[in-house]
Amino acid sequence: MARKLPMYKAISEAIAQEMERDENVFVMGEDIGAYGGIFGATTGLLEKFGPERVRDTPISEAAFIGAALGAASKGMRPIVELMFVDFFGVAMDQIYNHIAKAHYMSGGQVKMPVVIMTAMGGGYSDAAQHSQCLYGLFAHVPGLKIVIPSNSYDAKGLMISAIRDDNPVMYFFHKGLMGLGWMPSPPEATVEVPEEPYTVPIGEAKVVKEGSDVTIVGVAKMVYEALWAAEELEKEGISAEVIDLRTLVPLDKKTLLESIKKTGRLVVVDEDYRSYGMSGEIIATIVENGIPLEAPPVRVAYPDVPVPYSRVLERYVLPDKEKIINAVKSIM
Amino acid sequence: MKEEVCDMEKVEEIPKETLLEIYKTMHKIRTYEETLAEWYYKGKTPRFDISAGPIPGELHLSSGQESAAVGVCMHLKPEDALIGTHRAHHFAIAKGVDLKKMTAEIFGKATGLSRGKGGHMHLFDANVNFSCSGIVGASFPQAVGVGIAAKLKGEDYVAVAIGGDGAANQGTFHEALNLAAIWKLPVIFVIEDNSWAISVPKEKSTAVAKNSERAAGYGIPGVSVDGADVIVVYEVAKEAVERARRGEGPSLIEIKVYRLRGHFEGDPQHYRPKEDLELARQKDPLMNFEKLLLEKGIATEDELNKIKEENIREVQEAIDFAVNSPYPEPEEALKGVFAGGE
Amino acid sequence: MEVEVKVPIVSQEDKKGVINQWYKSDGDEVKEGEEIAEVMIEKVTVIVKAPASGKLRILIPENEEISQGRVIAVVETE
Repeated sequence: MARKLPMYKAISEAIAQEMERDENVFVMGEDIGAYGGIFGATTGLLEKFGPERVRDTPISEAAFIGAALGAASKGMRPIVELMFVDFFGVAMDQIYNHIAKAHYMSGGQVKMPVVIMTAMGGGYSDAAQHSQCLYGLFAHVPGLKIVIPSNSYDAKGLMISAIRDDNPVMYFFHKGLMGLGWMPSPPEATVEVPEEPYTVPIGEAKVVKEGSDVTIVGVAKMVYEALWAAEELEKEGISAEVIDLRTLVPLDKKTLLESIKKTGRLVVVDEDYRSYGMSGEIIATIVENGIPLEAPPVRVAYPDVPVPYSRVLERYVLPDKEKIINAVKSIM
Repeated sequence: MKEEVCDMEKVEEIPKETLLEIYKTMHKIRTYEETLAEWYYKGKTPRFDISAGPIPGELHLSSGQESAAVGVCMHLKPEDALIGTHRAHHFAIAKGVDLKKMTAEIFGKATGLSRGKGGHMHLFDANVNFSCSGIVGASFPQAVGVGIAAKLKGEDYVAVAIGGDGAANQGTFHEALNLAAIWKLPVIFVIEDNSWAISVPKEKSTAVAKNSERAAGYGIPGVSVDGADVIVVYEVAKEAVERARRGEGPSLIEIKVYRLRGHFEGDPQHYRPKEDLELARQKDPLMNFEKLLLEKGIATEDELNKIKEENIREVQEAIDFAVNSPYPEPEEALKGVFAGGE
Repeated sequence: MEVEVKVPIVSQEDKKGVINQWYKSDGDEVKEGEEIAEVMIEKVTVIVKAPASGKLRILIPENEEISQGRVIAVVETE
């Protein structure tokens, strides 16, 4: 019998169950102990497992993320929280030059079972340095698996998969989907979550709505904007198929290609910056596989500008249901 | 530099005019922060919704930390650079940032310092060389750069970088101190120690009791003072700024301050022991300074009341300006990424 | 006998919040120690547990403003 859990509880439950099962799993990060993580992702862990396995760190990302590499090399399975993905800059060398590449550079001698979980996304006026998504940037460097759940069921399953994976996994959670009482979140993101541990496979996209006229692809919060757009388009006789990618690396090309073969039209929704990222990758994947398209693919993506603070400015640039509807109509 | 405690002789050496200016600025900051707090909560109750109200998003207020800002900025000129962190309103006001435009920026209006694009954590005022950002530790290397410019141009302006007790554990802090030291740059590194990095207390994050000990590790002078007394801060800052202007290189000042409010607005501080909050109230630098001025007969209640009224008026004018200003045109969001257009 | 269910004290200051969610309904049987509600004081969420076993009588609904220490329900024990 499943109960509904908001995403933040699903994530902390996943971590707790894995920590119970495997003593090598431990957590490090800023305010993840007594505070439970500023987005609730580590709620209750300190109480259950104590300060040796649930470690509040100083503001020293390069040190504790680099430390995750060292711990992993000795058989530990660290989970580190990067408080906001926007803070990656201070620790990026350890992430992309070392954690991501150790297995390759060592010819397979070294495994990096590290989970880096991080908060992303905006829409609540947190401005340029606290609202970014940036998954495109991480997906671009080889060696990092990238998962992005859109609902609490996937959140728990993907976290358990990430912890059990012997490879580095960047786990992005959107702040506006966590189900925190103080940050608006679509109620659809809070779904039934089984009490027992279970996995959701990494590398599998999900068709969350079937359709025949156009394929709309997105991750995280954009999945909901796409679904709401699809609902309205339905009323006008346009049948949209919505795909929740769930994983960016490795990308589920099969599901994507099957869908485009069926619909012949593509709209990619991306809350990350437009250029040189996820939206371009999806389109390139379709085009280079030679799938015939009824119309050029369209991107509804965040423009190439820093996230502005003022609400009217942020709303103007954030991809949403209206922009998706207009994009679909433009290619019908 | 040595540890300083309040020294009445020092106070008596400072002209009354200066003491009143110190009081005025501290009180102005407090009035401003408490007024902003009221506006922040509008639209956010009963259920706290971070995206709602006239000031959406995060807000980090500096009530209780005024002495750090005023004690330091009293020695700065407009040409001197001050680079702050996410909790920067007190430094902005003490540095002389345009209060109306700052408020309009916090309210997201077109008349704001950055036309609504920056917000409370990204305040810029080029007229007084003030900037701040939301990335902990980012200020330190940037101040070093200002120091390089000063040296290359043969000017006597200085750079002040602010960070919290949490920032002192970020790599940039250590790199910047070392670089400023070997190149003998006119930089003053200020660590505002309010003992808390959100919920993590200093004892759990920092390997030494005082960051002034770390200064020795980089071969530069360092001092730790109690910010409950603004005059102590004033004195050590004076020494550090004058050193820098004379070309004698960087210094570190650690100022113990007491955070009266949560880390951000909406933080009920469930992790903070009762005694800690009570101590903060006792160490309130504004309250202590007012007491000092009155008890030592330096100012009368009437004089101070007059200053308070002026501040309340100025803050109200700034709020009115912000509230009555228009929001920017939405398309403005796409402009201004690069200087000179595209 | 009626045992009061109060909003937990989370902050030393007079901070307010709301009941985010009642896990149980009015009239439900509850067991002592069982999680019955979730309360949010500003940005912090705390779980409220039943102080005794018996029938739950809800006095305050979700989303209404509450202060810390306020009685939001009673448990009627036999």
